[in-house]
Amino acid sequence: MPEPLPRAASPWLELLEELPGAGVTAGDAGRVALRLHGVAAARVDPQHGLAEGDVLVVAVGADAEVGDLVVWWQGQLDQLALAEVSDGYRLDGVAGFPAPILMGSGAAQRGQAGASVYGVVIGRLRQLQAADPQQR
Amino acid sequence: MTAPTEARRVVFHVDLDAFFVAVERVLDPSLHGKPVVVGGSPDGRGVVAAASYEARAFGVRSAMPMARAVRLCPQLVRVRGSRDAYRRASRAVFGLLRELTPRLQKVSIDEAYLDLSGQPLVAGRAFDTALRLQQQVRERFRLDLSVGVASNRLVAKVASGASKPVGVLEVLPGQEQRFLAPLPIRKLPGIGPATAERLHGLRIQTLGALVDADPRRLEAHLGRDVEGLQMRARGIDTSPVRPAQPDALPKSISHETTFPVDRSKLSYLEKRLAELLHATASRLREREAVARTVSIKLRLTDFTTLTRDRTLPHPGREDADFLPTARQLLEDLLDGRTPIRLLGVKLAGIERGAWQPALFEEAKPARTSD
Repeated sequence: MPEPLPRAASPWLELLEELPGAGVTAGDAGRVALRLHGVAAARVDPQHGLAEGDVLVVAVGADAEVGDLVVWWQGQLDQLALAEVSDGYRLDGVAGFPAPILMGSGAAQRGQAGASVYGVVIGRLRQLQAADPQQR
Repeated sequence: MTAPTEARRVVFHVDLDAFFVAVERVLDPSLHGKPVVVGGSPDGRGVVAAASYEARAFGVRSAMPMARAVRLCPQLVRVRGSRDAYRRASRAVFGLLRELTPRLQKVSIDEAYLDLSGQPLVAGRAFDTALRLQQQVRERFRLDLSVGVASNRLVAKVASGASKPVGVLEVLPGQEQRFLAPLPIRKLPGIGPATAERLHGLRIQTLGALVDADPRRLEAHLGRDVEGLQMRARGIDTSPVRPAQPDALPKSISHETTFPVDRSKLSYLEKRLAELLHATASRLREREAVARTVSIKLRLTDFTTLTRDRTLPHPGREDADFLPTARQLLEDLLDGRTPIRLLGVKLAGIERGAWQPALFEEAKPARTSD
C-alpha cells in the first residue's frame, strides 16, 4: 500500500467537480480540474509561477513530452502531485511537490507501487475574487 | 538587468465582464449584487442588451425579449443604458491596454486581442502580466475583465470564454489541441449554427471528433474549407493581431430599429427605411467615405431574420444614391402581409472619399423650366 503524501509538508491538489468552459465536467474521466493548495509564498515555483488557489486543467492519460508540466500519482487520487518532465524524461518536483519515486528506484525495489504520470497540465486558471461592492 | 523576453508567440484575448452592466454599476453602486439588465422596456419591444451574472442565474440572456426576461426574474432591475458612458469607459480601458502593447486589435466595445510576442514582459511571464492587467483595470476603472492567454488568437479567444468571470486562463504552449479537444464544436469561433447542425448530423459533437473525422466525408457534407476548419479545431491559427490604423474606416455602418408593434404596411416601412438610411449615410459622410453595397435586414414576429444586399455600379455617399436600391430590396422582401418586428439598413464596401456622381448624370443637360 503506497503511503499518502504528507500534506503538512507538501502542497496538495484538490479535485474539482467541474470547470465547464474548459471542458471539464463531473464524471468526465478524460479531463480534470485540480486546485493547488498549501503552496507557501516561499515555495512558489520560480519557473512556472504556480500559486495557492491556481486551478490546473489536466488531460488525463495524455502522453507527456519533455518540458510538460505533469501530474503524477501512485494510483490514488489523494496522492496527486506536480512535476516537470525534464531531459531524459526525468520528473522533477515543482512548487514544493516532492519528486516522485519511480519504478526501479529503491522504493519500487522494496515492493511498493511506482509513480506514473496521471495526466498533462494543459492550462491554468486564476480568478480574482469578485470585487466587494462595499469597497467600491 | 534586462527583463526576460517571451520568445514564443503570446496573444491575449481580453474581454470585459458583463461590460454594460459593470459600467452601470460604476455609475450607480446600488446596483451591485442585484440582477440587472440593460435594455429596452418590457412594455414595448425591448430586448436585453446585457445581463449581470445574477440575472443570468435566472436564465436571462442577451437578445432575449425584455418581457420574457422579466417573467424569468420578476425582481429584475432594468436600466436603459448609456452608449456614451460605455464608449468612454471602453476608450479608457483600451488606452490602458495600449500602454502594454501597441499591437492591439479592438474587435468590439468590450473585447480586444493583444499581441505580446517578443515583449520584454515585466516578470517574464504572460500569465502574471495578464493578472496584473486585470488588477490594474479593476483598481483604475472598477471594471472586471477576463483574459485568455495562448499562442494564437483562436485559442486565446476560447480560453477567455472559459476563464469567466474575472479569470485568467493560460493554455500552455503545445497544449492547444488537447485544450480544445473535449469542447463542443460551437465553442470554436467560426462554427455557426448551420455548420454545427451539419456536424451533429455526422455525429461530431466535439472539436476532438472534428479533428479525427475523415476530411472527404466532411467536405461532402460541409462544402467548405475543411482543411482550414480541421486546422482550427487543432488549435492552429496563424492570423495576426491587426492593430487598427488611426484613420481606418469601418467595414460597414448600420442602423436598425425595433418597432413598438409589428408593422406590415409598406408606406410606414418605407418612411422608417428612409430615416434609417439617412442616419447611416450621414455617418458615412462624416467620415468622408463612400459605400458600394446596401443591405436591408428584416426581423419577423417569429424572430426569423431576412437580409438582402445589392452592390451599386458606382460608390455612393448621398441618401439618394442608396434609397432607390434600398426601397427595391425592401419591396423584394415584403409580401405586404407578414408583420415586421425590426428593420435595419447597412452600408458596406466602404472606401475613402473618391465619390463622384455617375458620369452619365454629369453629362445630363440642365433642365429648363419653360
